[in-house]
Amino acid sequence: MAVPSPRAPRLRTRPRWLREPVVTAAYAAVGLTVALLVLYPTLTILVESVRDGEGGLTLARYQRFFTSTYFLHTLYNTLLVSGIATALSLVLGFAFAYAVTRTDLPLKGFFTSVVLVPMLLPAFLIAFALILLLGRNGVINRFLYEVGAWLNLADPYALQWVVFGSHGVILAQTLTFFPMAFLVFSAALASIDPRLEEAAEDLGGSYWFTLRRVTLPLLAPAAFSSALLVFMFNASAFGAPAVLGGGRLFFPQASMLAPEAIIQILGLYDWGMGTTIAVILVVPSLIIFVFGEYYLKKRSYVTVTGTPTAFTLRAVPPTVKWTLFAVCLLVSAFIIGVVLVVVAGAFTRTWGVNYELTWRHMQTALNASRGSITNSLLLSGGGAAAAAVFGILSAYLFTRRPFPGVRVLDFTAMLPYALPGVVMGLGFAVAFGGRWSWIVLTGTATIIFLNHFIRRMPFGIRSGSSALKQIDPVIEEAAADLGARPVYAFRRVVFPLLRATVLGAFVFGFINMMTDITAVIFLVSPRWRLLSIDLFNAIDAGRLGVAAALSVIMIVSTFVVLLVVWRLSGKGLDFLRR
Amino acid sequence: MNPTLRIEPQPVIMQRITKRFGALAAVDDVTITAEAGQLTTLLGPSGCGKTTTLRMVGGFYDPDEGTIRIGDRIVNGVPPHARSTRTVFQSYALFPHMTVFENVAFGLRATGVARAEIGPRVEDAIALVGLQGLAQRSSGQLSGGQQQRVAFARALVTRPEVLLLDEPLSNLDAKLRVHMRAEIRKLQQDLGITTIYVTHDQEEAMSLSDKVVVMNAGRVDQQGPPHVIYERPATRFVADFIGVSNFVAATVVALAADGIEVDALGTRLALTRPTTHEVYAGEAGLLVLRPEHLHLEDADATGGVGFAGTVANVAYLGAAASYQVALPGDTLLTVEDPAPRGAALHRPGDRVRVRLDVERVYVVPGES
Repeated sequence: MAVPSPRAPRLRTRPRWLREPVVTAAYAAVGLTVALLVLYPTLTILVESVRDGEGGLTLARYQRFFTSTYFLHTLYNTLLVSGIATALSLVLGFAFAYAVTRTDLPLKGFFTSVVLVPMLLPAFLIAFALILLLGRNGVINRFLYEVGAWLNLADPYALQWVVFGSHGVILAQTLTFFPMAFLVFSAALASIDPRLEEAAEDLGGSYWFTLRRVTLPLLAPAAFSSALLVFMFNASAFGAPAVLGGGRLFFPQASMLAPEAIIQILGLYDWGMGTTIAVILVVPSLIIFVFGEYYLKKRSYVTVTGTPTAFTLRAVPPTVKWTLFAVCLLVSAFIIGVVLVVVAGAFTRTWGVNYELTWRHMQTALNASRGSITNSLLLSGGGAAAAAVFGILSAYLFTRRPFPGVRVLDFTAMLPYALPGVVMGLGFAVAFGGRWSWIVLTGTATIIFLNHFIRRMPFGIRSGSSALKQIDPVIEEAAADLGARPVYAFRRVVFPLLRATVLGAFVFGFINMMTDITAVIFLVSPRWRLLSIDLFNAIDAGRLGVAAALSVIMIVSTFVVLLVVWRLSGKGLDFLRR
Repeated sequence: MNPTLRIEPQPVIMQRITKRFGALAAVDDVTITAEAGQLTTLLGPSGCGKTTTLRMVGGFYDPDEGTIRIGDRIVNGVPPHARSTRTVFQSYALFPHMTVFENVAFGLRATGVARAEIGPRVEDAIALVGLQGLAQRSSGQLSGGQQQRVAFARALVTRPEVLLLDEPLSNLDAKLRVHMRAEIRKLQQDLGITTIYVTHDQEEAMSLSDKVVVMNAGRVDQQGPPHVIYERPATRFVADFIGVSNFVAATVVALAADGIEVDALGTRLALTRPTTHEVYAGEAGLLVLRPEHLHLEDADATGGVGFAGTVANVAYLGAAASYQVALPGDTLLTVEDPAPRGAALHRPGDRVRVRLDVERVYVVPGES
């Protein structure tokens, strides 16, 4: 038996941060960006909400919120509307997903395309279209009035279903958010091995038994995570409540949280109360985000077999099939109606009264908002491009060049995804306004650009890291092995492979920014106006014709960008499904 | 041989290298030399540390302890792109967005080779691996065998001092594997390039290598030419992993000038070239009995040394027949009959005698 010999000496090598200066510099840039644009604004809101007039700290505003009937009603309204809209979104999303993945319905391709349309439209635009359809002078209600009059009803208005109120907000938000549930469900359904359902039927399970005991339980994690996601978006929504909610919600005295925060700041100039509501809005979002991100991901039943068996669709009972068809057809028709009614409104003299064709609204819109249109295109385009590139670079750093503690940085960089627009907008307004600061950006294009950029960066990170999972790291090792320095390898190998992802992240970010109001409402100035804000103001002021014209401009310009990128990437709307 | 592909061979010397992942030492105090211009195989089951070792030579991991030299340069801490090693990856790792030409040219472009030089060198490399005419194909349009040829051309075009092959044949079907094995060996010998080859397939290792390094649980059990590894295994693991072996527990009874005497299954054997280890009288060991060194005889045969037993199982394989023979004390021996006659096969239950080629019996340390 040989005596164990001492270990070979350890060779001294330089620390990694010195050996990889590019990585170190990139991390410094990401860290600085996240600290300045995410942490700093969020913390200022928190501090602002507990600061009293004399420079001390106080919880008085929180106490006021939770003791005042008015604010509590605001909270109840938000929870009720969001809860119902979330439930409806899940039902609709599941119906669509089940119809297109598990049945041989006619028009499946059509349904799949139409269901994505609401993702391209801002929530308040859908709410606005609902006014044109179901407002007092909306086409449908006009028609119902005529029917009522023709039937000689005592009250010819009795048949009308006016969209203002909780039901309208719920309808608008359901239409806006059910596509998210659809995407989650259809991905989950597509990844459930059909052989499991076949096995259940083979063992004697009826259709309903199989659906109840096999399919739905397998979908539970997907259902849960999309419920959380949709609820999070619902709870922080501003557009639909602002357009349709005023004074007619479940608790009619009160509004909902996000609009209330905006009223406190922009109407009452009460920064303390506005930031307090913002913080209250953050808490559930944050809990949901953390929960979804770090708990749900671990328990998914998605079965990846790697062999996409061309499976034959199982027989679905005709009643189920045609009920699904009716639902899909109705919802799709409604979505198309939303777009058509806006286009019609743009070229109609006075909606509901005089249906003469006119160019007048379009001219007014173009004249009054030319600057806003250019600003929106440039700032959204620039912000989205920066977010896509920077986000994907960060994803690369986080996944391929990690360091201990990278999870914390990743989490912080992903935060703007969870933080409601109101919070990010208000945070920027407080942090970079005169009240706090050493950096004053109020009234500049820069503040809008940076806000767009940081709010869309999480999407770049998310799509970047999922795309990187598809790229075997050995590809990069091969590049290094062949003598390519890290930067060269990234430029010539990794980045070209991520091109479609970059374009997808860009388009998604661009659409989001073009249609956003909740954040930028705090950041626009007379010098830097935006199309979305002009549109919202036109709706708010009841100038329906001009609003419709501005909507058409918004839809057309986003569509053109979409088309150009589609051509560039050679891919369809696939990126929306990521 | 085309001058643009001539390579200056260098030895690779790994001295007492260790690589830990957390608490686990994937490679544990290992010393290996890959001679200049030779093909050295790292052989072992998955998880034995062979790929980790290869990746340390390629620069993808740095050893925690010990040094790696290529020629007379210590390469610890040198990143992969600055090393003169080139790897053919198990998955080939072709760049999916590039053509065959662009893939092969990548290493030249990345290291700033003059533009005028690139075209001819790439053409030469593509011709060397027999892919003329496919230069403009995209890498996704190639068969597995063609992809592998591109991976070879891509590695060789840069004239590396050392070629690293990570299970290059594992993704090919059986026939192509045997064919490519011969081609790789020819290419390596023509170019005279130092090559380190990782595989878990002992047949591949035996047929290709100048030197086989058998690894087990992060350590080297034995290194040497294939015939030494097979005929004179250093450990039970090596004997078991390479080829088929029977192990029979034995005790050393006496030492003699030209060998040792052992007792196995109550039979006394005099062995002439028994082991690489020092042995002592009374020590326990294992006899390594290869099936082709055992011969089945009728139960009453005499002559030579043999064990009495009963046929437990017969598998007729055409070119050979394989017998399982039960000996007293729960020992099962696999015995090969190289020229079976269908009618004359022994049947299960037959009493037989197993005769040994005593001069080929080897002893490794260990107890059964």
